[in-house]
Amino acid sequence: MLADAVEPKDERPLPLVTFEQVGYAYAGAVRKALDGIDLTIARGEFVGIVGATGAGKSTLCLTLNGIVPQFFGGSFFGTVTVAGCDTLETATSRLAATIGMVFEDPETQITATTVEGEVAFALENLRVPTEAMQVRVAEALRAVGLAGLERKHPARLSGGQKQRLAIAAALALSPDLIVLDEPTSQLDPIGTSEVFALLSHLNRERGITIIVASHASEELAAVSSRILLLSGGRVVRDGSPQEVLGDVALLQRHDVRPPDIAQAFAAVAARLQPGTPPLAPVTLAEAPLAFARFGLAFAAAENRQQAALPSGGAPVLEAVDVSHVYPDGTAALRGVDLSIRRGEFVALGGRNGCGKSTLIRHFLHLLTPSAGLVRVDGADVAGFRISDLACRIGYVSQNAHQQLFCDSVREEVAFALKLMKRPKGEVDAAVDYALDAMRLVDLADRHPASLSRGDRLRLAIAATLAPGPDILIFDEPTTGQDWAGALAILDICRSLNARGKTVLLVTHHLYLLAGYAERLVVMAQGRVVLDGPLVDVLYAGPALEAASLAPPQTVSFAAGISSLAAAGRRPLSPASLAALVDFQSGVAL
Amino acid sequence: MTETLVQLPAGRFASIDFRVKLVLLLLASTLIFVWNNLVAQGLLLAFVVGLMLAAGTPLSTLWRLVRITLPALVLIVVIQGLWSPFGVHPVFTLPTGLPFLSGAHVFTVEGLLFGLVVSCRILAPLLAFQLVFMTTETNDIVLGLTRLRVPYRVALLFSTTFRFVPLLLEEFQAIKNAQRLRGIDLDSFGMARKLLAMGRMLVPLITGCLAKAQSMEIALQARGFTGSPDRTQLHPGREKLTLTERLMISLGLVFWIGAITARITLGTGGSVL
Repeated sequence: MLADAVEPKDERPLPLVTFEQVGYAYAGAVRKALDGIDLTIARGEFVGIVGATGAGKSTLCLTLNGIVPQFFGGSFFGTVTVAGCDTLETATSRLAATIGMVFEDPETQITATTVEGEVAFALENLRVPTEAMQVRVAEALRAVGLAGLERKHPARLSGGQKQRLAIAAALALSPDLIVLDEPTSQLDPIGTSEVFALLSHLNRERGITIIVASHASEELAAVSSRILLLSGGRVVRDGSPQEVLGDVALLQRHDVRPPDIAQAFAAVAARLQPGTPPLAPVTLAEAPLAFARFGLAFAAAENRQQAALPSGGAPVLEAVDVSHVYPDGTAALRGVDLSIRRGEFVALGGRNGCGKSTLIRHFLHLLTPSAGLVRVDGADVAGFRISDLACRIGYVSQNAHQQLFCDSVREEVAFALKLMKRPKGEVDAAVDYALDAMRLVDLADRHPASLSRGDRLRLAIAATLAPGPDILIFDEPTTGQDWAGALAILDICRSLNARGKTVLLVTHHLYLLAGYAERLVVMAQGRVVLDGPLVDVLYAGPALEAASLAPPQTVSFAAGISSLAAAGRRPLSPASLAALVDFQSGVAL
Repeated sequence: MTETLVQLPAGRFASIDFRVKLVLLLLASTLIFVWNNLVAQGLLLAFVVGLMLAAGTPLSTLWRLVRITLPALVLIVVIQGLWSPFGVHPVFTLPTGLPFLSGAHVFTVEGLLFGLVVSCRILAPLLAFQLVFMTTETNDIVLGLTRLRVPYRVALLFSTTFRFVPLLLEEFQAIKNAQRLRGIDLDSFGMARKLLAMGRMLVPLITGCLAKAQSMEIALQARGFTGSPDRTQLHPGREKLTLTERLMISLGLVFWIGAITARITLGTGGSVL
């Protein structure tokens, strides 16, 4: 029956994927996750899907191999056809031969204990003969650059390698289509570019159709042939990268972060050409030509900002020549010197494995240095009791929203203080302060599980604030967040900094930092390689590249134009670039 | 902990069929209860440790495994040494004239020796299981079990659990750290507050695990997994055992039956010394 359906009736190739009036609501949910989707995708396309959290991206991906609705149940309307198979009627295990899936979390999608075993798993399930399987496994590992690591345990691969392994597992199926749901959200910039380069190669060289849902706008703009913007379960815009990602106002309305260079162009255009803005360039390569229409508008720009850090404040976090060697012999820190002063807002960046987390764990006294000294508030951290340290440093992890223990918001915030046997008056005052600072007063009696992800994170921060720490460490809080979520977290950091807290923010999303952090510290291979005012570090060029970090596109663009790269100008964000535009020189079209 | 569960590189021991290794597990986990004799137990333990070293287990891994159990082992030896019902000969006796404890025996030789026997009973199977699971691919465990007529789904559940342990431990550690960093110092708490704090940890641990389990199940389904035993293998392994492997299995089983028979009929290995 299926074979008949696959046969083309005429010479025109059938589209690989068709959605006809697809609607879907998860079991028990009132709101539809997908709502009236009509879509066709031809063979060989590279389709990027963008949208805020909850827009329906993951659901759409899971619909393609029948997991929605076969696994989740719920109400499903319409028809999805992939390579001629109706996904409602074809078992997921059969669709697996046509569609390779790659998910967000490398930890939960890898099931085998060797690299080659992982790639072979699906082939074994699909009863591919052993000889053919061996060829396909070797070939897939070669294609993703993991040849030679066949016998290695996947736990010993880097994040980027793990996702490439997951792609190899999908690729070995010789699928018509590879679907990836946020494949790079857990990766650092290097891992992200590895994955997108591989996908682009597979699409161009082998003609494999790729569908990838991602928040990585810059990368999608560079490799996709088509972008779908999803919002509220609907396809709001479907077009070329420039038609979708270049429409900055549209993306902003739907809480999707446009590529940095597109935002820069739109901000400049809004100052010089009020009215309907033209479509913005979406890659750095297109930028010079697009900006040429503004002529010499930047040439006479005034000096605006000066890079200088506030000098006051005693050091509150200090690492003095700190080294750390793990029991397996890995030297994670090699003589780190760092001093953070009271009231500063410092960002700490660097690729995964550069020693950021190890350093943070020293400040929290979860690790002790092999050599050197770690001081908090001027005293050796080893001298603090656990409860004393919590009163000085608050730590918010990436998964803080999943680490809530109590039955109500108020109880959660008071939990640690009550266990510390603090007097009731003191507990109440601390809880009220924390709830107020995190704008949770109205939710005080709610159950933490009933809150949205963003509110749960604010609750976790409130619980961290309750013991009264003056120093706050945020460990990659923007990972996995959409644009609005990431900005909300940064706004919290800024408001706490304005209340006098010292903030240390670990992140590799450098494009988020402008307007928030004043100072950026970059680590590489266990050392601090750059440390200074945000603008100096972002404009450090090759030194930043050597640490495997890329500056925001606005910075890369401005660094190539001498009038913009001059000291005192150097814009960090689209808004600051637009602020440099000189009205007097007019617009040269 | 994750590291101890990660596999050793392929070697001669690793290439032995899983069924032979199962016989080793049978010996190491049953003979310890057959014998009370310290020498016999010691030899069995030495045999297992010898196999581990021959299989290329780093001494540091071996020591880490022993260290995990060490507090319990020391406690057992001390308790047996002080209060074992078999105790006859005192190691030393407190001088007369001491209030309350005057002339009391401290440790007995028989008790201490029995404590060592019990320690061997714990260490031998622990190390044997570690050796077998460290040197066997999950795939081979699944295959080995299905060849012994264990249903494929159960065998896979077993191997996935094995894969899941490090994830669970990481999750547990992260939650413990989260509490600690909020200022909750479990070690300084009395039993009641400690239990309260630990009980609260279960909530995020369980919800976290359920979410991970669901993601894993989706990933399995997306890779065509149905639980059907009807599948091919990347490394099919030998359905048939080699002559050496047959000999090893036969020898192991004969020794096992012999030891049990000798214990029942002749009482061999029944006394501590």
